Amino acid sequence: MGETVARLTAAVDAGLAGSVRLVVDVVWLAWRALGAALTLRFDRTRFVAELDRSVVGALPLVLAAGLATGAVMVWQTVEGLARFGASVYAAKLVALSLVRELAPVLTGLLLAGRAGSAIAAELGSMTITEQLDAMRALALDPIRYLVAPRVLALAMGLPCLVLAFDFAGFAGGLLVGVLDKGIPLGAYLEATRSALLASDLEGGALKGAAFGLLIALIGCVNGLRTDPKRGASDVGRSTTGAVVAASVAILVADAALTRLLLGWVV
Amino acid sequence: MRIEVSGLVVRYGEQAVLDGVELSVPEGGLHVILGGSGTGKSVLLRCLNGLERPAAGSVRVGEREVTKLSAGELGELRLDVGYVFQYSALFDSMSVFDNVAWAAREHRGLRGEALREEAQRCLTRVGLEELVESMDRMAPSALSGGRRKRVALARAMAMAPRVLLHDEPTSGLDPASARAIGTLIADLNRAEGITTVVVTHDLDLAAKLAHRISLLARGRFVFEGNAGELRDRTGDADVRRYLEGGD
Repeated sequence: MGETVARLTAAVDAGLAGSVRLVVDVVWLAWRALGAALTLRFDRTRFVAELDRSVVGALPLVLAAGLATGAVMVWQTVEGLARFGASVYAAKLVALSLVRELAPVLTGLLLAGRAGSAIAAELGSMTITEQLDAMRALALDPIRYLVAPRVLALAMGLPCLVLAFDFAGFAGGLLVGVLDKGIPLGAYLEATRSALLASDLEGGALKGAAFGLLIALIGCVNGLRTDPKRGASDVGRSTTGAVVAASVAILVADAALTRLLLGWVV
Repeated sequence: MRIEVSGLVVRYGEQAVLDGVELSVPEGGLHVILGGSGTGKSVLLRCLNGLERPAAGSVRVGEREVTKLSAGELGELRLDVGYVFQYSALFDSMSVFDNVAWAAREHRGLRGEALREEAQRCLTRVGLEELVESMDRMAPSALSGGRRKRVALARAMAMAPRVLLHDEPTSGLDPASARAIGTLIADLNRAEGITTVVVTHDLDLAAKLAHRISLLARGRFVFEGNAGELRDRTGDADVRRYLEGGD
């Protein structure tokens, strides 16, 4: 019993220490990457390539997820609201939940799996094959050429993907609401329009930017921390670590940002 | 540029990988560091361009004390110090041309035709004339081990370095390719006057190249001289262990 408790305590300690180290590394990398971005000392070609790969490349996935989420939400909410003869309010509910919560969080989680893992795996592979050392040996700063372009691309691109998720979600909800549940098109559109304020869209986009920043930074930190001595298995650990840490960070940041934005929007 | 190393200590945890290494390479000299696996040869090489920070000691390259340089100053040092990695470390997402041209574009400001000419010159200098035509579309993964080493050398040459550091330049190569790489290293040192340090476990390569050979064992140099003297020093336990071990 005592041994189990000691082992559990040690595991918790290690977990806490690991989390603190991750936060410190993310803050340090954010400082350097944003410094490079703000002083325009980053590789613009790689920034455009990363936008294309991580953001444009994720568009079909995000649109499909948005469409399905909007449709499912209308099916679920109309089912409940119909009991009170308030089916049309499903449009309001779907619009608000999509824009404020579901679009940024689900887009963030999708991108954590898609782009965050890709970043960690790529930088991890470069670390174990000495390509990062080769860059340093050529006086090429990995922050400027590898980290800053990815951080900027995701921080700027994710809000666009959140908006794409919003519109796909509206479309999915509209199709189900009008074609399957018989809500008049005009009533559905009017309910959606009246439910939303511009600040809702802005808040969702702001969350998207924050999540993009977190996904890229956590992916980069995990990739750069890959241990060359452990080889390919550590690339796997880095990749898994990046997805798990980014997903948790998105959920925690969402709680904090929601509280902040609710105070601002009301 | 001359290289002076004094009292160099590198520790990993409690273990001293290098424990008081002394090394002196004159400007334009060619020095070979021999040793078995895990003796710290590569660690020593990494200390010479600041990729590794020692626990104690001094590393001077030209007028610079490497151990005291800031990140920015290390960048300036590395413009003068080319490094060829054991497994080439080519950027596998780039073409051969981009591998060779990247640093020249960033640091020497070369663009367009001037950059292409420089990449062609470097590839030709390392005996890869046949790659010049296809360098834009050729990926490093399509090259043989020997050619990858040569492209890595061309990449280092594109910086116009005054010092070249080679980490195990013949490892993984067939005997003919290994001999060719050895000839190339000696030729670059002689013709361009580049101060050269080669780390290897290959005594044949050392014998072919060496102005001077050092044998690293137990964290420090246990022999300095030429290949003939090394082969004759069979009374020394470390030398005997190296010669009999073969690596």
